[in-house]
Amino acid sequence: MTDPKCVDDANLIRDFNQGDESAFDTLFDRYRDGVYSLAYRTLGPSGAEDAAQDVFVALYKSLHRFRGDAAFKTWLFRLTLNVCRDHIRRHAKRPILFDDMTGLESQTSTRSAASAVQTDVESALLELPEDERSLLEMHYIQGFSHREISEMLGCNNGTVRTRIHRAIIKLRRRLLPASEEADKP
Amino acid sequence: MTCEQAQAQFTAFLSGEMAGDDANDVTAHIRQCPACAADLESMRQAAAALKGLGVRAMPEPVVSRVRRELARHRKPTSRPFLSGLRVWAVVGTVPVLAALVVGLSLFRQQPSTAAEIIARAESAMTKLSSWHFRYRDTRINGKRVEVSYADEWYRAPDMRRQQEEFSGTHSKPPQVKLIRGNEELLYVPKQRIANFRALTEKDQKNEARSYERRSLQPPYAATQHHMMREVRLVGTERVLGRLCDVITGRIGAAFRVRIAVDRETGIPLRTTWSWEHARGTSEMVVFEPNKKIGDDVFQIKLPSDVTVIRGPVFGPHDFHLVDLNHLKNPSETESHMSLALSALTGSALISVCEPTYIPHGYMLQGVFPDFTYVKPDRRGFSYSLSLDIYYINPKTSGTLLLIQSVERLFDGAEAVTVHGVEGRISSFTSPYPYSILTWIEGGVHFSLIGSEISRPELLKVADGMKPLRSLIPGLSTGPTWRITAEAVNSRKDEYVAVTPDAVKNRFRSLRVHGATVTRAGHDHIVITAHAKDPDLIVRSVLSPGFVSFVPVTKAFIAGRYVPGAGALITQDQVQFRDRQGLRLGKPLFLDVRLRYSFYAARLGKHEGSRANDVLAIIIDDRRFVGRVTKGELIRGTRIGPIPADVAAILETGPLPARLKVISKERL
Repeated sequence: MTDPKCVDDANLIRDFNQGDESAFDTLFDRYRDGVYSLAYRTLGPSGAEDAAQDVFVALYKSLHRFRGDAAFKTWLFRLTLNVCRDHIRRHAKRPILFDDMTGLESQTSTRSAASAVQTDVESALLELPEDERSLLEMHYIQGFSHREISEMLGCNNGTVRTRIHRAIIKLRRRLLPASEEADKP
Repeated sequence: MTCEQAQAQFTAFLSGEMAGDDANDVTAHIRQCPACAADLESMRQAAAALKGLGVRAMPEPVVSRVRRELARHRKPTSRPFLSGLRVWAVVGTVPVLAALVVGLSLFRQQPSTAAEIIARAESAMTKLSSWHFRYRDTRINGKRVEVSYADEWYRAPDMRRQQEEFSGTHSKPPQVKLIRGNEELLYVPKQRIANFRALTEKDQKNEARSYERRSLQPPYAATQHHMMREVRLVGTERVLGRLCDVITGRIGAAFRVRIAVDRETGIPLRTTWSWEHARGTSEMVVFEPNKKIGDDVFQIKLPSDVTVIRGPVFGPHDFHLVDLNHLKNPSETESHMSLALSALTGSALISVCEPTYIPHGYMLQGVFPDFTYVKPDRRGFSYSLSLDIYYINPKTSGTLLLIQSVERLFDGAEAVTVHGVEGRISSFTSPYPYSILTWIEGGVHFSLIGSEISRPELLKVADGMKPLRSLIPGLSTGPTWRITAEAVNSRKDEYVAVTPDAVKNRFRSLRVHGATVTRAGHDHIVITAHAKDPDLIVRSVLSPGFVSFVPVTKAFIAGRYVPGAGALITQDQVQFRDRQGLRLGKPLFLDVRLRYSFYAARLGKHEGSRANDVLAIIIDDRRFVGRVTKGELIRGTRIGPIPADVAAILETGPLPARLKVISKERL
């Protein structure tokens, strides 16, 4: 029997559309970290969980509409970005709830386990606007090329390159003081 | 190749996405240009640091949660059915059939699903002809806080009276709200009226609603159903002798709710919530549905020391994104807009603009002054206040959103000129075609987002922007506002607490790095939170005993580190010591007062505004009461030399008496 992990995305999608629910489980296991990571870096910890859930529910409902024009991964991450944008809009319009105040503690405790450098980088990243955070996450962490990102965003290659360039410069500016400070006794 | 050309290619160069010739050009340039070589290296390091973060794995609890949610959406397929047949074949037909029958009958005995119960609870009030209930307010860890009880009478279709009384050492006269038709009368004790009148209508709404928020009374909890996750029906129990279905769920990451919903009416009769270390219960002690309620209930003899405030009925979610009333009643929309603009100009002190040109077919949908952008970072939360004006075209479904903010929300790819200043514009095709135009003018970040609107039209709207008014001439160019939090002697009832609403409406940006106690006394304590950013100082003066939301993330209170103090400080968490280190016992009241501060260091045109030489102006509503740490005040403002007592605000020592005077004019 073929190991599901070795089956490519197109075949999994075909199997799912023919009624094989386990094919979706394989897709979920394959992409759950990537989707969560993009949502986490775009929305922060409190929004990432809900967004990731929404992405996979939306994927489950709409996978039959995937026509294969683009790579599935690109399509899925475009969906993730859209869900994140939607969350940002919705979050911006709702009153602050208690959980908004509580998100930081879990975030802090999570970070305390990470290295100081990574914490600084993570913090610096979180200081950037959401769209720049997601660009850096997609390009440098998830490894999408400029062309793939431009497909996701629906803009040209040069625009993506410029925006990533601007974002990495901003990140670098934020990292410099932090690293200098880390050197202090 | 020039330095500029080379630098523009660095991103592509580092990621190996350049054609051979171009890459060779960059390589040749950096060989001969040490500055660019260093620049490239630092960029490489930043990219490496980013890559080092790695993909963030989805935590196991989230994986389980998503799987559960997916299972809910899964359609029955042939596979489980076939599996069932195989089981059937193994165990035999009779037991399986019996199990099926038992299972179905059990299923039928369930009254309804948790979601149905919550949905019913939300609509229950509209089905009742009348009700009277009284509930005890929240008890936190067994202790009652603030509101001792609230009585509410309702008679269909539109008579409603709500009365709240307060307990504790800060006992206040009752506040009564009476709704008749479309009019709302709010009876407020005189001692609070000065504060109340100073509020905008928006703030009044929040103030009136804040008691509901804090106490989380059952109806309010029920209306949160759409935000509840992991909703489960866990059983039944009796409250006031009535059979209730009990549901549990969570709102956000940590706020867990358990609600006992009356099976007959759908009214939640008991709500228990827990959040971090705190637990609370709101319980109805009187509940009389469909009771005959006489007119006398709605004819209230007012105490002599109350004042009546008349105003429109405040809807529960009137500030949400879509309010169809705006479309039905243009005059109300205009009124909302006017109020919203005054609210923003009154609190944010930025120069607000409105478009004078709107594309044909577009109409005002709503104005939202409470755009809140929550950005967690390791030091705290950032809140930015902005004004959003929405227009829609009902025929084309086109939308136009204008955001005026003090924080940049978007960036753009292509340069354009707006009002003679540089702007940026980007166009997107997903999820639908839209363009975003951003520019900065007068210190305000403008974002104009249009769907179904061409770029030239978008630019035309931008060019038609005109300032509405500028309250503070000379200061409207400040790009960044900071805020300090302060509370003084709340026993005299001079301030309101910081509620989530207040945080939302008042805080602009807050990044707290650490905190130390700078002053402590028998009736107050001052926490000064030092930001990493040298020109940001956050102070909170705490007086004993009140539960408040203090956005100080790492507070050392009386020398004791309180993790999560930024989220919630309860009386159990706060310990007070006087200057000699003697413990003062349990706090009785805690209050936080907010002040807006504008730091000239952010203006950029004032040199030397650094760490120990920060020029600061504190703006109290519409007047300056600011201070500087050194020298005279900023040129071009109306402020003269800062009085010594005000200058001492941020210093250790007794509180300046003048602060109290100022405070009475505010909240």
